[in-house]
Amino acid sequence: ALAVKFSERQRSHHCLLVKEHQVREGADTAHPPRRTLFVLNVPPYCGPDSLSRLFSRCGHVQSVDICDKPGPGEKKDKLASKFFDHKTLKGFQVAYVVFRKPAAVQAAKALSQEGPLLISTESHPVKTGISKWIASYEASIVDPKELKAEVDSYMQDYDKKVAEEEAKAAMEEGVPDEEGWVKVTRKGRKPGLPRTEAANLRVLEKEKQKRARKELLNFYAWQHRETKREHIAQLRKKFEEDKQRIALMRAQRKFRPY
Amino acid sequence: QVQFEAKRSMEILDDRMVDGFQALLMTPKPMLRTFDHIFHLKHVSKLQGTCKKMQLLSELMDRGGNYVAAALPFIVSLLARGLSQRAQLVAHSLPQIPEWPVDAEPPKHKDIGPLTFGLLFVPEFAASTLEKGPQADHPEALEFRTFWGEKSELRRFQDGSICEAVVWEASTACQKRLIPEQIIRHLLKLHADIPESSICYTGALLESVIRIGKEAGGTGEEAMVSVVCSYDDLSRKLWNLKELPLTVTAVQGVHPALRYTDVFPPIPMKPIYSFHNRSKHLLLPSEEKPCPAYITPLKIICHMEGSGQWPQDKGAIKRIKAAFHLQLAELLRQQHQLMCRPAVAHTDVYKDGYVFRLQVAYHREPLILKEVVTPEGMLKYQDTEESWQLELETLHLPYLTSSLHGLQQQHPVFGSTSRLAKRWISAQLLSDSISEECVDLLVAFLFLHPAPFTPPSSPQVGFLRFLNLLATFDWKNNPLIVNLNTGLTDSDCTDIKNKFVAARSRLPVMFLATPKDQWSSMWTREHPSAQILQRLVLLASESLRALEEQLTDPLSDQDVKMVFRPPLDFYDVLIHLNPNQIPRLLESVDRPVKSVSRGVVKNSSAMNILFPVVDYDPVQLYLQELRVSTACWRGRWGAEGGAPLWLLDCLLVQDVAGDIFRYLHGIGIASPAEVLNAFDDLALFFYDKHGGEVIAVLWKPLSFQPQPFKVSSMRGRKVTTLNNELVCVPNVEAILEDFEILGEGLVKSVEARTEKWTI
Repeated sequence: ALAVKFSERQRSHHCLLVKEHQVREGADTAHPPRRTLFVLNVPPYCGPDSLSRLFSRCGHVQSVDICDKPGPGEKKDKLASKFFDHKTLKGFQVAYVVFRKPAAVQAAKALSQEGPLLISTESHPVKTGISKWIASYEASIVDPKELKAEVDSYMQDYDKKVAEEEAKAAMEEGVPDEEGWVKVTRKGRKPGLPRTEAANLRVLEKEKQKRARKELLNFYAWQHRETKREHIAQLRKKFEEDKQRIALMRAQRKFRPY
Repeated sequence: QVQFEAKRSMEILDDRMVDGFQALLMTPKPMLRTFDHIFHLKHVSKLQGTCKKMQLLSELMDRGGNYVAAALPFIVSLLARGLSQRAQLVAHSLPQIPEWPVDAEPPKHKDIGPLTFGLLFVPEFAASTLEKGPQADHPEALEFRTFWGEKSELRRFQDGSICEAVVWEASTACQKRLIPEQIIRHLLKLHADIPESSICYTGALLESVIRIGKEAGGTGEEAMVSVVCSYDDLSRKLWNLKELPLTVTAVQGVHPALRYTDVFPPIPMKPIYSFHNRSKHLLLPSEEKPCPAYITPLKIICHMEGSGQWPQDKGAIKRIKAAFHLQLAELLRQQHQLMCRPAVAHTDVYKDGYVFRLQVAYHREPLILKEVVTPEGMLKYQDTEESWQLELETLHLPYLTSSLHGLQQQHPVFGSTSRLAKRWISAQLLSDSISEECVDLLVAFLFLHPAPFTPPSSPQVGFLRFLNLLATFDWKNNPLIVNLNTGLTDSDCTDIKNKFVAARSRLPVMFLATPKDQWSSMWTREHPSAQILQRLVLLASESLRALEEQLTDPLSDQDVKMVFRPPLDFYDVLIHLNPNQIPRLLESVDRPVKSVSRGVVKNSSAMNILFPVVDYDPVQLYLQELRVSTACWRGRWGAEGGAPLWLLDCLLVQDVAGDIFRYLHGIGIASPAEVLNAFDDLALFFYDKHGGEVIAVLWKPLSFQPQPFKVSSMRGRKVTTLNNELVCVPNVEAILEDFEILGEGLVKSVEARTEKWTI
């Protein structure tokens, strides 16, 4: 457990818990097992740069990944858009610090003997409070030209993608696959039903109605007996429900003249 | 009075949607809540002078010297004549004759205590400033002049006639509501010889909490009317905007100010450049100076004409909407010279000193957000959080806003009553726990189903009835049905009640049904929770009791604003804020004597200036950070959402000064996993969003219990050993210091009431 404080002025500290990262299933490339430190209870004002600075005394830090919950790291290959993918505020988080050498991990575990580490110092102040909010207000103001450029490029990609898909679908129309099955799509000469839950339910309803028309309900003797028995059971159930309802109404009654 | 009440009772009995028996025979109707304005006559002995002045000596003899009984009917008829068109009913309280022992003298006539008179108004005429009399040459003109004394004058009217008329001085709506007071004082002095000091009028004592600006500024109704005018003008400009790829078909307002229920409506403002930091054509708040005034963006939703060319992908729709915002900003700037600032999800327009926030809505977007492809390849529609929010904002909220706008036109005091109610709720630090639309609907219920009363014609009586509703309604067993625009029939109502009873445990704690929203009570789905509802009920009953005592006793001089100050000794930690950084300080209940310049010029607007700082409220940002930092991974509450009902059965322990309430585990917990998830949050934060100076924090007691060491529960805690086992406990000192760190510059001090809790 490592003690960490925000700055000199604070009297009490938070505990960062560190552990060597071990994963049971498979290996993920983002967090190689022998070189990664798993850090728990990272305070919200401690960002990736602060963490890398704190651990840089143990060894060279290759990357720092902060997430909400511990889980396998994913390589983000698409560039997240500055405007459209919002970062929500995070509370206490979990971090994976990847060092270049495995020895650094052991050094990090031994750090707890020294005094509490400081997150914000004179040379690298961390902004919180009013200055942070003013900065984030400034960052939230959007430059129209940038936005327009991004939207235009995205829509061009999107249109291209849609056109490609249509072309592919048109090519595959009516072509049987290796077992001889032809896929029914919306484009061909005989479009099938849309594959949605609502359409499914409609078809099932129709089937039920057809079957109900063909059924005979009064034919067998056991059918007579069954209908009578069910009728009585239903009456009984309704009576019980009504009794409960009346008991509830009686309990809620506010006018009690006696 | 008996005739009036009988007529009203017949109406109530005929109405099938109201339970007539309950309303007529079992609901008490104290004078304070029945009549729109009441006033007390303190010195009953002055009625002796009345008898002399009005020459009632023969009646006096008839009653054996009981001047009270002799004078009362004449006074009532005098007032009724003076308030002829304004008041439906003028009534008085029955004098209570105290008992006396057989061998003592009977009490004097003046010992019956103060007399209370009540007035019920006709909404259309109650606030008119002109009292028109007969024409000058008619014989009735002399009668009119003797009745009104020196106040009546000869005036020439637009249709050429010269009539006697009485004109009252009143400019703002709240002053107009007090015209009856002026009438009564004048008449009683003139004809009944009762001096002004004997009359204690309690019609409008509570309105000072919703007053903006200086005393003569009125209570903000005029400001809201001007906001609505500006909004109408903007929507007309939007309709006629040319060169858009799809024209604008509908413009709907969503902000409470556009339905007349915003507590402090925006006033036109213009920024002062020297107060802010400038950075490349941007005005930014400066760190050294106090925080700039809060400019609230008035949200408006625009619907475009239908077209089949919208993409079917969520990301693409967002970008198309952003492109529309850019285009709208550009065109408004070119064609109407309005200053605009586009952003990803909205466009801000600065017009007439107000800032409007336009959002483009596509009606099929919620549907596309709900699409989910099951593993079998089938397309299913499932409600997600995002789609729900979007639907609420673009479909339901505009409809609610327009219905309530219509309600305001019918009942002119609806807006003010709603504003008083909201002000009270946020003064009790509960503004984040109950949504504004919910309060609006509750107040609308008072106007649509006022049985056994008549619809309120003054904000004060509306507010008292609101408190009564909160305190006495049985939320557990009954749905509250608000029949907006009379969309519901009797059979619908019974249907709703049956379904409610059948599904009670899955539904939210407070259930509000409207014609468009009969089964799901969408406005109360997440808030309030059961604990908050209990607290609201308690607070409402206490406040009502206190207010009633104060208002019915004419000799009391307690501050009526007492119910607007929350009891603070019940919270665990208090965070005191720096007043310079609270932008809405002037809206607080006890307005500070000195106010700080906040970098804007009020009541003025200009064109072609830099865009002011919009929607920058440091306290709200701070609260968001606080809530997130003490939150944990929240599990889902259950399939349909809604707080567990069992908490309604918890016991409450009340003490004299404030209220303490503890949660006790009730019977029949829904599921232990859900309970644990919700109680992982460390604390609840309470704040009065209209200029409060204190944030109150309540620790959640369950989260203080030591829990076994688990990766998922290790947030803001420290590890200690307890009985040779590793457990984690919240690291309270560090958390308190975190409060200070996160609010650097805003927090003045953190006061921890350590005598109330131990770890």
